[in-house]
Amino acid sequence: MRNVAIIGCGQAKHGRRTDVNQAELVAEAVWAAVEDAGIAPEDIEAYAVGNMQGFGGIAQPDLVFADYIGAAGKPMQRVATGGTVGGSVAHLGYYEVASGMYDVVLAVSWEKHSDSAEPGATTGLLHVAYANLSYMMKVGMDMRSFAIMGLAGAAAGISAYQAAFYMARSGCGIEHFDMVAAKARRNAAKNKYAHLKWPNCTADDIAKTEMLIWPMRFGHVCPASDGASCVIYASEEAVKKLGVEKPVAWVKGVAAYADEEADQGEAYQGTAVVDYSDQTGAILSAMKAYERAGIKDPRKEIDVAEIYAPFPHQELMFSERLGFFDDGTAWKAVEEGVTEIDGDFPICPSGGVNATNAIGSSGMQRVVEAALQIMGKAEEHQVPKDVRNAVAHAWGGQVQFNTVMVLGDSPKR
Amino acid sequence: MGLIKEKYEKTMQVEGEWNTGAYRYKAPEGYLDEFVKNFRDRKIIGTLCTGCGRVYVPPREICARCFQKITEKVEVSQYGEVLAFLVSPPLEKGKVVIAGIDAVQAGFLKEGERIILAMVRFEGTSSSMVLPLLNAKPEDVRLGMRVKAVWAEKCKGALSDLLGVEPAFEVKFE
Repeated sequence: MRNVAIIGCGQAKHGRRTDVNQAELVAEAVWAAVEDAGIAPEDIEAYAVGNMQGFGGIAQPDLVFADYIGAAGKPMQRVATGGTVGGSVAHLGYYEVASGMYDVVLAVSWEKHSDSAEPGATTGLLHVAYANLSYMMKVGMDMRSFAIMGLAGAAAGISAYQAAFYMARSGCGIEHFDMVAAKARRNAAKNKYAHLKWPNCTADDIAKTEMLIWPMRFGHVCPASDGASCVIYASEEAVKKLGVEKPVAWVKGVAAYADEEADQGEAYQGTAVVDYSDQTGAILSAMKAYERAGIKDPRKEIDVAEIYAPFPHQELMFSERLGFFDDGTAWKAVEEGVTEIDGDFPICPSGGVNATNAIGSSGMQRVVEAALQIMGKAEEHQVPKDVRNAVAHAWGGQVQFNTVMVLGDSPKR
Repeated sequence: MGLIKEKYEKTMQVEGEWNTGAYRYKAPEGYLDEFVKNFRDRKIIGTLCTGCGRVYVPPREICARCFQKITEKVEVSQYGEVLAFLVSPPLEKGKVVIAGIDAVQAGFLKEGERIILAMVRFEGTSSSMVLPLLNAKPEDVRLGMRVKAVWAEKCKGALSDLLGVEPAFEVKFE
């Protein structure tokens, strides 16, 4: 496997973007990345693209925007792994360069929730769950049970179950979720691309928000954003050939593992995932990615992490599964301020997915943010310490797909 | 420019029928049909993987851990334990809207009721199920609490026969 570097990053402004269509949104991130890399569009040899399938009311947006990003006459592949997709697209782009197939590859992922009456729901999650629901109604699910399922609502629902499981497992309180959500909004206020910004937000501010279903408050829930994120990969030889002199971020190890689905399975069947906060897939992905990156002690060797956590309990849960804290103890680190921007182990200094969630974009955005921290280009939310290694994580599916990428300031030797 | 909600105009409406029950979609042949048929006799039937000994409820046709087909069926206990739980606030009109339908307004849920959702593992099974916890106050719910299945008065062999679970008996030293 060849060494691969991220030589350019681009993000569209995330938020409610009714001023552009999907193709224009994707192009915004792509051209920002091309400009950042300081290369010409002709230098790009192949494209890896992807979003959450069916969201934003367009089943195959890649058909539309290929022309907008200069992909005509070049190889282009789309990946779809649900919420994890941004991470998977980032991996695909990396595979294409690491394998020696291409020297310069652009990877972009995006989402546009606002082209939908209830963001994500009408054209998104409802169609994902449609086949399950229609079968359950066929075997006699009544409208009361249907409404009860909808109480916690779709992705927030399965995450509410997971939050309850995490509480049962770790003994943390709802106040710890408030702290994590407040941190996300505070950090987002320092990130010009973020959606939900709230300078000086405190846990008390979050605690005042409405309880949707205990233990999940309105203040815990991520927004439904529009946005796109993009990275450009180059092989070690191409970095030299293109004359890239700015700092780049080297990919040191990647891994992606699928776990068994949870939430009674996709077709209302029992699964062996009794506790939704187990996240075996995240543990396996992290272990393999660290092994490939030569990381032995993640807590010591990793300097900053961007975790895919649309809901605050997930930042706690995943930071344990990724090996930064012991199982069930992350909330103690949050109490001590360890995960703040200026803490000993900053997590999601960008504000993370809890503050900005354009689903397809979110996984890629973690890679972008981790790379920016390594390059020292995160501006106001740059962590005030040397960043040698950073981790980007993505999660999705029926709680079961995980991707982990370890980035570093020097190539692997 | 993208179509935006502020300029939303109703599209043409066409009346029609789409019999979605006619399709298989993600459901393997017959597995839930038999599961719910047994609800008529108030029985919970799971499947047993002979590879790892796991018992799945609701039944599952493939064991993801052993990657083998499951054919063995077993009846499981009506008793279980609460692994984790959620509690809704008192329900109001306009709060639970699913696909444009207000569930309280439509009468699917009662105004003012609080719904407790419990993740329950029935005794001897290796999977958890989300079920409403009935006849209990939110403040009385505990992790590990013993619960039992609650059935409809008249069971007709449908998913809705299993109403949820309720606190089981307690044995106290006096």
